[in-house]
Amino acid sequence: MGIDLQNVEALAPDQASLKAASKLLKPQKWPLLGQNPAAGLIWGECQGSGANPYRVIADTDDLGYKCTCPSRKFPCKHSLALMWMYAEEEAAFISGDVPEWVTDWVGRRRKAAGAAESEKPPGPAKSLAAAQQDEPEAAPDPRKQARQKAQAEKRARDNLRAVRNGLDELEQWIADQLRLGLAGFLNEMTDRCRQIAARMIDAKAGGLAGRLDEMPARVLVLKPEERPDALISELGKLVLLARAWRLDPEDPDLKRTVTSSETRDAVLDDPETPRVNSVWEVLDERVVTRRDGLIAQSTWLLNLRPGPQRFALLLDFFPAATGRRGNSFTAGERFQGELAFYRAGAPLRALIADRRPVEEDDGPAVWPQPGPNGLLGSWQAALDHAPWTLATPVLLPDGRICRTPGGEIWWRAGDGSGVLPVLGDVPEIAFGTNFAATAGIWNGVRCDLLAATSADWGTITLHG
Amino acid sequence: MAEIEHSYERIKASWMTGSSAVRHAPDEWRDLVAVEAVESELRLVALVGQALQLALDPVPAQDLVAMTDVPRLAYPVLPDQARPRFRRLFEAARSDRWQESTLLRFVAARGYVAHPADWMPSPRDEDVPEVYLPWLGWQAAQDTGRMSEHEPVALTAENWDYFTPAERRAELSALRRSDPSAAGSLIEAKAPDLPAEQRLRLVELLAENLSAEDADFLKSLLADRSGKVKTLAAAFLARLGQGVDAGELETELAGFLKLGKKGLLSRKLKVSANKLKTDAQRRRRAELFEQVALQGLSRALNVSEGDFLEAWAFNDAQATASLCAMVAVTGSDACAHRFAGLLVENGLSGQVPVVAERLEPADRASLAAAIVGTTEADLTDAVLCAGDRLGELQGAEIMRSPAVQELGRAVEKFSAEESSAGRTRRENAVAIDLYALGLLADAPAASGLLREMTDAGLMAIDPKLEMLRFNESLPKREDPKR
Repeated sequence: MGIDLQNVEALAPDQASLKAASKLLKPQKWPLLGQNPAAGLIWGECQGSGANPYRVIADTDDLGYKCTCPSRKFPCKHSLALMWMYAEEEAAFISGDVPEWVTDWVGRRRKAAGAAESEKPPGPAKSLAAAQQDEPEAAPDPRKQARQKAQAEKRARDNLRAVRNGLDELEQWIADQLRLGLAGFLNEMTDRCRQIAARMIDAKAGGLAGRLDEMPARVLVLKPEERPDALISELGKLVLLARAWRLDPEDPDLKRTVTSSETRDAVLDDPETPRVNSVWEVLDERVVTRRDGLIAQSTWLLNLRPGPQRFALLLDFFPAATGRRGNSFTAGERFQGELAFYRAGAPLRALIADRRPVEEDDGPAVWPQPGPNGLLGSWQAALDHAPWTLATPVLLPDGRICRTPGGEIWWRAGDGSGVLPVLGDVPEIAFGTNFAATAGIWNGVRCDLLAATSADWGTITLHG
Repeated sequence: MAEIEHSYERIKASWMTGSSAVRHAPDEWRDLVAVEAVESELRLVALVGQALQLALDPVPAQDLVAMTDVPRLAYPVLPDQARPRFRRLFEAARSDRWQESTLLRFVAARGYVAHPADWMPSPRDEDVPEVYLPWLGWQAAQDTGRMSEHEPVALTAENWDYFTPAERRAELSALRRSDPSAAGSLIEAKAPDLPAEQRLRLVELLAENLSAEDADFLKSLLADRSGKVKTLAAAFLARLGQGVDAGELETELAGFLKLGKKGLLSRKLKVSANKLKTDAQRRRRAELFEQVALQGLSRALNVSEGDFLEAWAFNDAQATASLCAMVAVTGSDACAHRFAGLLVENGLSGQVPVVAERLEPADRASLAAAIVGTTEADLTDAVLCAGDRLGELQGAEIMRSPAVQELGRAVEKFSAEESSAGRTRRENAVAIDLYALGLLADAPAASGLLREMTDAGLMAIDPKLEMLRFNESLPKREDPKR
């Protein structure tokens, strides 16, 4: 059948989708565009508003399509944009082998779904030409602008006051829990945290609300005898966070933790944003459904070149109601790219600013050696910068994963210099080899292992 | 540090019960928390929280036990580029033990093993290719607390308990091939102490090089506590020509068959199944086939076993299936081999896997090739027949197969069809055959088949071709241990 502009127009669910797709036609939005004419497939990765790119596929024969974005429109703007670009400039799509994630989709899809879509009765008239027309901007009205600015400033002041009051309330709540007894609190933790989280939402402290909502999950996963210690640490960090915010409410890291995160554009446009260009290896991807109905998608990256930024975290949130989303990366995958880090004392969360496949010219890229500051040097450094930090990635030196006769899992340093308890399970192979380096997320109590390298078996994902 | 730890226990105890903990603060924190009541508790919780995160070293409550290294196997692990496809195929096969095992046998036949991060056998797996036995030993060591694998020593009655059931089977199987008498003696000595299911699995090993020397032990098993063991012993004795005398039953079964002659000139012997009128008759005949040995039935018909099978008329599908099972259980090796050939010649390849278990690996491979060459062959039957000899069929053998030619036509046909339930059904049938071909073909033949199928209309990355692509990407290593 082939893809032409008429097909794109016909497939679009409405004119708004075409308009949105037209804004994605810039090549810089697409770090990857590929095609395999023999298979009749095109694919691409579109950098959307999140940290993880959306993966988009289309079948040029029957106009089937798939995108990992959470949109409820079918096709979404990314699928439309991919097909639109292909219809206009096929040469921009590099011919090559079909990537594994595309093969996966082909294996799962029901053939002819796209064809059926194209046969649906025509809706309201849609036009590619109209979608590309810039809407005329109204002439600026100085009085209106001044009014808007004043309103925004008032809103900011109100929000600041609301957060300040909210933090007062939080501290009082913490004192109440100590006064009423933590034994009782542990029994009613979920309900009490839910209530204070709701109060923090009212106080415009959304970041803090999410943290409080997830606190029971972090504490109750531990053994009963460990819970009081974990709870005391959590409460202590909340006190420190509240105090730090009062001292400097404009600090980007504190603002992000207490209220809300910057937008992608704000991070990319900020001249002070730290940027690191390197070869990155995907250690693992974690998808967790939160109590507030959001799904958190975390992709952990390891920098394979020397530099200050050893790890990066691509973090996205999307509503659980939109269903499971396809993975953006495969564990072990590598790419060359520039990451823009959210500003922080110890930067970790990042966005992909630019990305391309690793080429031979990029030279060998290997796992770095763990730092000289002891097992948990990076954890101590993170707490020095931000003592309210909940977890930080660590790169452990030569070591081995062991078990106690009771079945608890621990990581043990090869030279016997330290041990760390492991969170969750690991695959069987992990017990039967020595690891030259192991990457994990340390939360002060347990290490959630991500991946490790072994001379015998290469890099192994350790998510059990 | 010790003071903080000591103080902390008292601070925690106070907070757990809801009393003030400030009085328990260590001396160095006293000034920091000497403020009004609420503020002092908040400061103390902030300080204690940080101390807990930084100052206290985690210590396991019990000693840590490290396993030995996962042993390297005789074959190398799959090349990195083949692993994603293996993972996909294995994931698709996960719900079906036979499919899992067949994929693993295919990989082993090519001279590779799965990467242990992609698959490791479970300690209960007994039917994995032998090359994985060291991993089973490693797993069992972990489960039983035997923290290292045993030295590579031969199995004896003395070190018996040091081996896992799967290891014992492998050792005994090898011993049975090299020294049948020694293996028989060991089985005889140890079987009585094992649970029924393990006893059965052990006695099954006597099938290899079964001889009159085993007869006394087999006769003793006719009084075994387990019905399954008794039945197996009786079947083995029947294969040795020492079956239980079931005179009346043999005569009754012979009555369900008719001896005649075929051919105008040669007047060859012909044995056909009588036409039956009722289900009760059919049930009775099936029961008798299960209870009577091939030797006994031949005796009742007054013909040799070989002549009886050659004369079988294949005129009743149910009777043929019953005879097939009878030959598999009680027939001699020669009879099993001949009857398998007769089944293929008569277009009944679906029955061949029943007797294929009795054949030598080389015979199984030829039989699989023969099945592929028949009209309307079910290619999955060929896989069942091939046993461990997978991925060996050459292009010429495959391409002249009527079933493969029909497959190309079927692909052309449904590729041109609109989506429908019929098309889905036909596509699924093609997918099963292509998967089977992916297991049977050698790598060059797999490449040829991929070309044929894409020419016929399948997309190069169609998941139906996944097994063939895996096959093509995995040329046989020169020196796989056999």
